[in-house]
Amino acid sequence: MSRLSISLEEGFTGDAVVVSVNGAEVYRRDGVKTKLQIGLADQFETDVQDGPANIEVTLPTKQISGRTGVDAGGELYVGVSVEGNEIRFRHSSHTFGYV
Amino acid sequence: MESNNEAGITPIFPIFPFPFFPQPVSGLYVWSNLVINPIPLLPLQPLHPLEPVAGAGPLVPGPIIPIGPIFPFRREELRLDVDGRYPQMKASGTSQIGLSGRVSWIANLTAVSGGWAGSIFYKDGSVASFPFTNVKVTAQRPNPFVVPASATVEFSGGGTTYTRVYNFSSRYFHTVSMEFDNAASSTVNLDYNTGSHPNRPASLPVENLTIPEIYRRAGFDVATTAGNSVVPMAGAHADAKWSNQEMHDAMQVHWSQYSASAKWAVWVFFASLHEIGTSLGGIMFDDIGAQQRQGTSIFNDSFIKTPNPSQPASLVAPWVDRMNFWTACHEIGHTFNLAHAWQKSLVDNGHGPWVPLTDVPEARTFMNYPYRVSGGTNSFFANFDYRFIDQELLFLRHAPERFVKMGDALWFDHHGFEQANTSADFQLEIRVDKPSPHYEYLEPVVLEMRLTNVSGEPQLVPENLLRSLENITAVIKRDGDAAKLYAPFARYCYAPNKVALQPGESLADSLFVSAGSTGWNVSEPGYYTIQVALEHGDYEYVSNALRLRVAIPNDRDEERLAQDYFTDDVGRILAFDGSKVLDAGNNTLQAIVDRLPNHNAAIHAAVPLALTTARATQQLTYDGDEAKIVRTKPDVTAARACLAPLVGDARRAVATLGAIDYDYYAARLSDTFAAVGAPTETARLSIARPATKPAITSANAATRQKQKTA
Repeated sequence: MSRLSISLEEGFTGDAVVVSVNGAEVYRRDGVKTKLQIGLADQFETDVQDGPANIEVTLPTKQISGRTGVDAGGELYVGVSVEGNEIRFRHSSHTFGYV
Repeated sequence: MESNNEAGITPIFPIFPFPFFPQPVSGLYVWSNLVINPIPLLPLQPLHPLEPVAGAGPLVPGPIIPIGPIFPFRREELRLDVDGRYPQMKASGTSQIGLSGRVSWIANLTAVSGGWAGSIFYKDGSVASFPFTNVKVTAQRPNPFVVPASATVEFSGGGTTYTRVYNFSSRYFHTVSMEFDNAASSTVNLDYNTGSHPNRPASLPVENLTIPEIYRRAGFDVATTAGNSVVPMAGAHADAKWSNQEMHDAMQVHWSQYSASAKWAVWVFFASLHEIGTSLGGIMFDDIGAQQRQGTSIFNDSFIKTPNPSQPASLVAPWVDRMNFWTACHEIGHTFNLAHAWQKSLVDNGHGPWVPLTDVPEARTFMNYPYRVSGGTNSFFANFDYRFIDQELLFLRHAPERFVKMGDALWFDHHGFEQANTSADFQLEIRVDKPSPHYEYLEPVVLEMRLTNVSGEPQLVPENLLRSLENITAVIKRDGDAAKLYAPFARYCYAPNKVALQPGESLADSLFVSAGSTGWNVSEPGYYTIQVALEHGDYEYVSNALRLRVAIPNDRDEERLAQDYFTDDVGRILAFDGSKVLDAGNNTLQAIVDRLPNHNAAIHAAVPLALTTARATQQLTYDGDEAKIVRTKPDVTAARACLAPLVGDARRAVATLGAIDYDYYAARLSDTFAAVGAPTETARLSIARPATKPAITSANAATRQKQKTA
């Protein structure tokens, strides 16, 4: 098992957000809003089986969603941002920093 | 050369003060006509400017510069920014008008013979009392090696001239105090040696920089207050990590300058960790309450103390030191209302810049994340000069104080400011036809937008450039509230017919800003500021900032009507000039006409009511699944009754509707009544009104084009 850290970053404006990993819902919250001075809305961690994993992020009320694939193993950090009608992802093996 | 003074011989070279290097003229200059002299009250004397004199010698008073018309100014400031550290080639000023009026202005400057000159591109506040469009600035001092004694500004344009001499006050543009405190388990870190880490520009001077010095270079006279208070860890409660609320509480208790008022002062708090954890290196936590941006924090044990494993062991300490320093300067930058480099253009829930800004995601500024640029942290610091970029310096030094000062504009509201990418071909102005921009409670606000060709050549523009609203951005801000972005109920797509504007000729149209698809923008009593930007081709044109006042309700009747008036229905009816289906809104407007017949709002209400009842209409309705067209006949009697407020006082109608809309409605109502065979009504609508500046409006553009081609 690996620990997957997901950060909801830029572009969230009080949205309902649902995050699934390999089809299983791991996060659901309303009113997710980016704090502009740090570029971060929310963070959470979830355990995932080692190996390929699919992460899907959906904003139900805006009817937009995005997917990304990761290779889980060790520490993995995924940043999620909303740009217009698109969900964008970034991956890193190091923690993201916000200031 | 040896001195021959002992022999009584005059030196060949004049004796300059030591150290003899040129002093910048940039800084703050002040003028005030406030004379406190109880007995007797002496007349004000104009200042004697000092002539620049080549070489040494006593200061020579020059001739008295004639002062223009005596305006009711009390205190004026001039910020001259033409040399010294990071010159922006700008002049800006603030002038107090009367007891409560204030105007801020900003001008571009280029060097000219004897000084600097340029055009004023930004005004804010009581701009009606400040018609000038250009400035010429000169500085007075006996030689270049002393600070100036004064600066003279010649204002011109707008049909008048005005000259003012300001006394030199400071080489800084503003004063700010900073207080640095730490949690019991943390330390305050205020400096960084730029030579301690090799990842830096080759041209970067090796020096020990401090946080106050960074902001001095940005133009602030930084004083540190109290400081080095140790905030007990009890403030962070059980987990020893700090939440935003806990830090806000600590600020209120431990900051020596804390008060519920806006001021140039900031509290900087060094602690171990935020409750978010190691991923948060710092935060401007003060984004709650009425006074925001007064406090910020840095977390010493966050990710900023952990470099990439590729850092050699010998460089870990300077790497950490550098990150701490950068983080602190970054967080303090947020208290000055600076946004991240990649967010300059962002408008969030009505909070945003006054004018369109450019995102600069690769900029080397304290307000960018080093690890976010191409090439990452190494690339960032290889080209970073430990400074703010020019658009940020322009904002910090020259924007109206309330946008920058801590505790004033809300976080992200009016963040950053930059001269729009504009050309000298056009000038955009917004105005109202009222003698003064004072509105009754419930009275809608209709602006006139006027785009004037100020170049020396004819210019082709789309005839509906202003009317389509496609390229218009309007921001409305009530004092003390968040700014609102105007969102019209509809945008119009017109055929791209063009008209030629001759030099000096204008395109004009009206803009109903009171209400839009996001609600009412002008409703509550108070002072409002409105500004409009127009995108045309590759350029943006920014209007003057119009200041207006909405009065308080006259009586309870107005307050009761307001509950039904400030609704989406009424906003739509006014915007679309009528509706046959929004019954609640129509009833409210009829109540305005019936119960407030002498109110300006009644004039606005009369228009859609008259237009709707005087016409035959058809509506698509459904009886179950069956579509039916329902036709209504004109009701001339009802329409005639609605017209009373509109035709009763032409001057008042023109003032509140605006001349453009008045002409439009007069013509449309005349046609409507003529169509139903009510010629007496059309005669009543042929009302003489005060002459206004000619302009092409969308209403007359087609006619004008026909006349030209005939």
